[in-house]
Amino acid sequence: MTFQAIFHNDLKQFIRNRWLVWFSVLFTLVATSFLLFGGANQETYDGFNTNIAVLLNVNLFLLPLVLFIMGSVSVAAEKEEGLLTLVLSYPISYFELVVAKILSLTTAMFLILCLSYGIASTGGFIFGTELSLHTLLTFFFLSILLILLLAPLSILMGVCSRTKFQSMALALGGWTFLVLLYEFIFMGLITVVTPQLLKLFLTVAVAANPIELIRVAAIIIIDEGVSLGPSLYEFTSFITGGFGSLILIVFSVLWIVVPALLSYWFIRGGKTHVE
Amino acid sequence: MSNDRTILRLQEISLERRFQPLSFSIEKGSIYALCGGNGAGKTSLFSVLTGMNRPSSGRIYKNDDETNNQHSSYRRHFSYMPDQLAFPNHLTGFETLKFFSMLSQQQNHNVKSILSYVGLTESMHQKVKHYSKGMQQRLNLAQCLMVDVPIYMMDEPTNGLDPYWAHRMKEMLLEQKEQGKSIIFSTHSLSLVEDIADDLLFLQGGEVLINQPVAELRKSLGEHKDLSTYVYHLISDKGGK
Repeated sequence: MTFQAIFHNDLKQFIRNRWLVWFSVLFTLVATSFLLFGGANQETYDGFNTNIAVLLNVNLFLLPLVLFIMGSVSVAAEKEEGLLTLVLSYPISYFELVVAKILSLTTAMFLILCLSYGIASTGGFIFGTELSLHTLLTFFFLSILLILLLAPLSILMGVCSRTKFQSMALALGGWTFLVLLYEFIFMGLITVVTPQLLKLFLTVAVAANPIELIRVAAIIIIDEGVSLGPSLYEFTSFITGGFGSLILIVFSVLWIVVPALLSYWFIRGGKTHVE
Repeated sequence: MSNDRTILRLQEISLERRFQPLSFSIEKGSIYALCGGNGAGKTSLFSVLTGMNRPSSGRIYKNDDETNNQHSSYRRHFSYMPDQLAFPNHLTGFETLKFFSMLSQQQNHNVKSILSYVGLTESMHQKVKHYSKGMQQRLNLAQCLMVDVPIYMMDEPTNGLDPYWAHRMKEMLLEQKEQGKSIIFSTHSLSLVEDIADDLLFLQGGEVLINQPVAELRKSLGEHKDLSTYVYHLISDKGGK
């Protein structure tokens, strides 16, 4: 009952949020343009071509940004407005509260993705596109996976913030680090890593960032890691093998579970800065 | 000391940097007033009473049994009316109370009758964002009184209410008292305290200035004509403001 009440309330709030409406329009436009016009002058190679790389980057740039802002600001706003304090004074399970918040955000983003991909793919198939249905569905699946991995983190950001501004700063800071800075740090470090440690370094670097997890998963699913090149053959073989895949799955689960548990722990311990 | 009417007892409770150790008991069917200047520690004390914050020291007893204020079982014994609150603006007054009714896990609420009790029948299907401040405060009161619990905790319940509803609020609190409910509320109005409270806890700069029954305070007013003047002189004598 508690879960249902919070889930429905939060889902309504998310769906009526103007940010999300604008995001869905933007996302639909971007996805449709790539499907309609991105195929021009491309070879018929069905692997990881420029179009797919660009579409992947659009996903990996836009989705985390909107997720972080939506999730963290919604929780911080409830704190600032006193609603969270009141809700927490009811005899509810704090764990249910955290799970309901994560799932409502996930569901709202899922609905937006369905709408955006639905419109984009309909347009694409009516007017003709170079992207295959398989690739499109892969992107859809990976986008959902990305939402699942990042939603708990974005709720945690809100739980740790005192104000909406703080949560916005945390969301943008987190996004900048994970999406932009991480790659530069990664590329800087890779130049000093010895070849013997390369496989371990790459595995840790990919597992430590949910966005890189999705990027690598996309490359592996779409063209079995061919585009990673021969220099990363050992890493590609490892990551596509049983043990490597297991490591990626375990880290993906950890990216969901750990932020959720931390949010619960902060709320339970009265460390949420609610006044 | 507790007696068989004591339902909640705080013993040497403190919250770091907010308020010094203090003790008091809430008895069945009594009204406890919490007063003090801005930043005196009233809202912080409420944060401990409602389980938002774990106290830095001291113990809390519920019906003479020591309790943890962060357990959900503790939260089944009170209902809270916060000072500042913005309800979800996409909901109507009726939907808002339905939402809180689900959170309370009590299924027997008559949402319409409680809305009528606080004078919101005609506007119950309006979005809360269109409510005036006073109407939102009455909705806040409704979500608090809707739940059947032994203790109601109210942070500045008369804030934003017009004279009619401020008076009506006093009557409502007395009605609850008659029904055997206990109330702890914070206020800046010492005349309200004189009118309805049985006990007064006055905090000043995080320290207890007054902690005694209002009846006893009345006897010790001396040359002061009312509680407000008495407290004013008490604070002045202590060099505070």
